[in-house]
Amino acid sequence: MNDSYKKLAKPYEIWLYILALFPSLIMLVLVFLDTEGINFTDASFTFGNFSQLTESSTIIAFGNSLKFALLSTVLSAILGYFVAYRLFRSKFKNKFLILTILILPMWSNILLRIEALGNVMQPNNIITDLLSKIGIHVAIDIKGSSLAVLIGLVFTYLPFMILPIYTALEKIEPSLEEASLDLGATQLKTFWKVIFPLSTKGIVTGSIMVFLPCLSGFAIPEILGSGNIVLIGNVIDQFFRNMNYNIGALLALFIMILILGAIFLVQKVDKEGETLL
Amino acid sequence: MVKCKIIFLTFTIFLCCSVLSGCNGSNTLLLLNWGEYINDEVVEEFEEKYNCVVNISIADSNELFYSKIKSGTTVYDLVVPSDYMVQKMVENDLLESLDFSKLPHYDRNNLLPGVQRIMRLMNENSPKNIDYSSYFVPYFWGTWGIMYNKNKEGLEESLNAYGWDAYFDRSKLPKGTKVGMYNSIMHSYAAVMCRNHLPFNEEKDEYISLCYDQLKAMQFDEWGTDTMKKSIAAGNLDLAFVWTGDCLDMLYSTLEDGTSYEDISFDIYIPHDTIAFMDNLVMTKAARHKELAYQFIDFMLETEHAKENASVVGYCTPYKSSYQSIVEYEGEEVWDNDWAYAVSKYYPYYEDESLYQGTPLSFFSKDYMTEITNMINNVKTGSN
Repeated sequence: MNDSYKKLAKPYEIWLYILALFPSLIMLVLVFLDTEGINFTDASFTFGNFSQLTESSTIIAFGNSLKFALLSTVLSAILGYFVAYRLFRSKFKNKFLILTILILPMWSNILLRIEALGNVMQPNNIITDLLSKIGIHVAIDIKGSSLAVLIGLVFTYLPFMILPIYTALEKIEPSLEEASLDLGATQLKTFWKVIFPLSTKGIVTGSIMVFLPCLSGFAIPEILGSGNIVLIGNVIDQFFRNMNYNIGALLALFIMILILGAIFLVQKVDKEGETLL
Repeated sequence: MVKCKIIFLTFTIFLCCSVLSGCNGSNTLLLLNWGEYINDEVVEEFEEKYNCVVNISIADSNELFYSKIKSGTTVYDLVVPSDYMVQKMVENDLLESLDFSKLPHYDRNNLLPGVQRIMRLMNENSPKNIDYSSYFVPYFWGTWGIMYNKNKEGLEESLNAYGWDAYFDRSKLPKGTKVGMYNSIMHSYAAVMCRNHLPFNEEKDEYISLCYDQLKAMQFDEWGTDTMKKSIAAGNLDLAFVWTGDCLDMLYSTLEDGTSYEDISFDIYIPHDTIAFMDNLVMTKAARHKELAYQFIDFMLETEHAKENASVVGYCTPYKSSYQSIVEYEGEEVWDNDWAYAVSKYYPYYEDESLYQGTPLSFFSKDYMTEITNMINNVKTGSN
């Protein structure tokens, strides 16, 4: 690549150093210290923070994070594949329009969307109000349950699954499919032997993109779980909130290592990085 | 290439410096406040009068106030911490002792008896014999209470009959009552202490296990923050421990929507043993605009300004003169009449300070806070 173009990336690189690398290093230092906030004047060296990792609430919260992240990834993959495949097969000319509609909810703020969703999950809300005026009395009351959190996670991150799968499907050479059909394979067999294996890249990329935010997120479980469902992100949030930056940093770094591992996995699968949108 | 790197480095440092130092003009007052906790019109008035800019930053916990002041990345002139955090800041030498001669509108006799009581309690529960009152000027004060849904049959009666025990014991509540706890570790800990008439300022392991048992036994339906007031008003939640000001905030907005007092579906029960708090204007030791800060504090102390300021915040003004001007309103304005009624009902005036409710929180050691945090998480995750 032309050297002068490389310079254009410099501002972002600097940005990255200041706002990502430098804070991570500070976090690494904080893990081994006992400080008051992020003030290093009265800091003392300690390994004591690590005992937090064996605390039963930390382990359960971490287990919850893994459980919700895995479940929502699997659900999103199944639902997302159907949508992407349907779109890929459709004869509709303006597929771009449909893709736009799919990402349309993302144009409004995520917290607003989640709050709104939470509202609908309670027995008294604007919809039940309107329905009761015409004599229909239906209401669901699932806010605060695991189901509510799962719905919220899938609802939020599904587009991140659809887009990479759709891109992977679109990239499949049509002649491969024709060849398979010509050689006598049935539609179903063609799908399982040709189309699906060629689209797994999209599923993997999409899975990573759904799994990571689900693993580290805390806003969705906090709101839709009514504070009853504790994920590791909530524990980190609590420690930072109460000025214990040492334990907060330790747990956050722990998650970061997992995330880096996952990104490493993506790179293994997708060397050119072409399906990463 | 080396040259290029140097240029980028200088640029970066310059950028950092300019970001960190922020607006540092001599006529800019940096105020660190809670969200929605000041009347912007009063601030504008001040800006016009003194030809300056008031730059307000927001933080949502006392602990954040503390770490922002201590780290000193931005040098704030004024902060609005609560009672226990003022104590901690004073003890860590972060606050300027105020020169009251520069605050002609400050008169200690003009403070409500309840405010004077909190000031006394602050000095009493400190082990170090410091007179904290020379470091702050009261800004707002109030209590915590149990907000409830009036439409839930039998709920009001059990609250009046059992008080705290109703909040912590489902057998004393009507069937199917949905109960919410405030999602702040300090306040949920303090709620249990209130119920058991135990002090807030002692650190004991037995208190932690007591908290664990009682919070767990209650199986709260929700651990929320300021959204709980809306849930109660909408009938999605029946009972919650919240700031009294939260309830009043909801009350005012419901009244503004045209609902009459009789039709309001919620109310608040304030037990005698509860949390009381007082937020205060304090000046940081590092403040760069001290003169302007004094002018600002004094401006906010004027009866009319304190009253205007209280009109947008659901909490109670600490000054007798402003308080009287609010509750003794005799005009025709519906809003002013409602306001007068609400303030005299929920923040009643007593000459005898022992009739006032509530105790201010105290700060805990870091280890004790970690223990409380883990205890609350154990309650929520169901582990032990």
